[in-house]
Amino acid sequence: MTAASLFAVVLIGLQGLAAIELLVGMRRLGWTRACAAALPIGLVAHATLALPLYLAGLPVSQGSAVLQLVLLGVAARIAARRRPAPIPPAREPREQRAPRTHPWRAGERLAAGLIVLVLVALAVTAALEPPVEWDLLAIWGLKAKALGVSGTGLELLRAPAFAYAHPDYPLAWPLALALEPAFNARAPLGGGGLLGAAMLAATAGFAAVMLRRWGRRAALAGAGLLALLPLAGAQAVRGQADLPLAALFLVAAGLLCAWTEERDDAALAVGVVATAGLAILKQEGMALAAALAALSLIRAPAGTRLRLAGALGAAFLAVVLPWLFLRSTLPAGAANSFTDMTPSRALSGLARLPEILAALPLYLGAPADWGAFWLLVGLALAGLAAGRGRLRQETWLAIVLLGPVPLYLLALSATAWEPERIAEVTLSRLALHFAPLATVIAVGVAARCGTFGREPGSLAAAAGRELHEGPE
Amino acid sequence: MRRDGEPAVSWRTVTPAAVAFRIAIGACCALSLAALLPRLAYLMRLAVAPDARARGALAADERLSPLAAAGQVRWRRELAERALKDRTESSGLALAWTFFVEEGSRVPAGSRVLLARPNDALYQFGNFLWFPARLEVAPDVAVPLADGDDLRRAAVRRPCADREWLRANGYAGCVDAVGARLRLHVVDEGEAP
Repeated sequence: MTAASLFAVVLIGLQGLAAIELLVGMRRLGWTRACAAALPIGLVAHATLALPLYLAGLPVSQGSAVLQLVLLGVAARIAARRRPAPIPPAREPREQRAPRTHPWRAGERLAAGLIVLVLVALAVTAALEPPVEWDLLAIWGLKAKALGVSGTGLELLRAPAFAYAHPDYPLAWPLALALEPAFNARAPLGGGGLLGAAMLAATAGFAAVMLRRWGRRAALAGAGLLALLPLAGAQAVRGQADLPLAALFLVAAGLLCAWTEERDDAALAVGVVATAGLAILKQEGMALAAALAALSLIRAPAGTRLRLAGALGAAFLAVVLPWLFLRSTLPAGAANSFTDMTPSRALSGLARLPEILAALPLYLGAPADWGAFWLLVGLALAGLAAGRGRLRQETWLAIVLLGPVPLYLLALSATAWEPERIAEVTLSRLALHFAPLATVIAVGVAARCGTFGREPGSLAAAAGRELHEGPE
Repeated sequence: MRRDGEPAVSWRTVTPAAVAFRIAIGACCALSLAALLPRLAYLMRLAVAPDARARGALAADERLSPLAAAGQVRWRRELAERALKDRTESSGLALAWTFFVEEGSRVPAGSRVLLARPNDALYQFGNFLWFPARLEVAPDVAVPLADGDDLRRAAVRRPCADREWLRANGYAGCVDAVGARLRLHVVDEGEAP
């Protein structure tokens, strides 16, 4: 079971790498960045191919995923041959490049060891624990079983008896879970699978890649904060869909930021696919994708907006449109705050907003879920505001972080549930969507202040020199 | 002096902001590690559990698994209060999970089973764990069953003893409960073919 589960993770990751090779070429994106983004992008690639194949009569299985991988690999090979030669050398944008390496110090080795240990412990827990989480059983896991080789198909979602499973929720996560033996109806009872734990490792990895320009210690701090985050660990083990959404949001925001701020052309194609992928992963992903796309369009230089709009449109057509067509044939199911939201409902619910907001400190301040994470993020945002835009990338990422929040709050206020129940069931879960991006911002601002020292060759050292000598 | 007239600060100097961040990151790591300790103990318990059924019963128990109520602060508090009052109280979810796993082998694949005790946890757990067999609360459900209230309204509430009715409606079995103990009645079990 564990070997088969590991194979499912590998299949998703390889599809991600093949998709990146197809879109821009791994060398152009940078090997490290491509590997770190492979799993979240793989989720999007897998769902984008698996859905039409499923509708054509091929149930989701590891065999069908291998077929998808072959198709993607052939397409990537053809695209690589047709790409204009010579391919630019594997240079990454200045701020993405790692500083000149220096020997690992004992503390750094210890931190890296602790991160690996925590991630391995989470993976072992996930491999031992059978699927038990209510939402997983009722929504994501049930759909995964229905879509798999021994499943009964999407007809199940059209039956009123399964309205509780939210038939209109996006299918990218169940399509990935269907590769796990735990969600094959014929498999014996075993562990819940490794996809969730692998997704946390990928999130920590991508955060480290984004932060390495600040030095190795900053990268380790970012990865460590995410790996240790108690709620992220729980969600990773329990196979919930919120962590994959958070991972994809980080990848989408990080790559689009690299394009808007650094003119990193290789990041654009993968970034827009990641942005579109948000919409097929969870309902909230629609809000994240809309906010990220709109903010990127505003931020992009005037001459490049059309190019970005075209890329976003193409990604939307390829990734989201097939799902929207399918969704239009499915019943709405249980009440849904994001799709049921109308202006009148949102306005009438605004009166409940203060009550929901008042619950934020209780949930975001819970040490058992967050440690002191949001305190650190608050400190960083205050530092960023005081820095008067000196940290261009971090400022932009903070705008992206805060951009979707009003949409989330509107959706929450429009929900029919009592505010207390909304807060209990959703606040921590929704906050997790923002946690990886918030980590990158917080550690970036901390590094700028010299929190991790001034590693030679890093931006932190440059910031230290600027502090010492004044701006150029 | 810096060019803008502000006093120069050596780049080796630890700024107050850096100190504040070090404290915040240290607190974050310390609190997170403290929260992870019960999970390590839980992992040990999972590792020594004899089989997947025992591991699942442990994982589904909100009072024994530190992962069960993640993100739900009020629910955690309620569980802690209940644990103080009655240490022997059983977890309903763990009982339900164990029941469906243990009885799964008695349910023919693709069959239909009536849930005589309409309850959303039982209904949703059963439909996942017995898939592709289906757990139902009524033979023909026309309204969407989105939550426990819908389920209770739609339920036919036939007793499991009414085997003729169960057979006539195509049910292979029926689930009811005596107190907290769930029971599966297989319609044709123990009868001559």
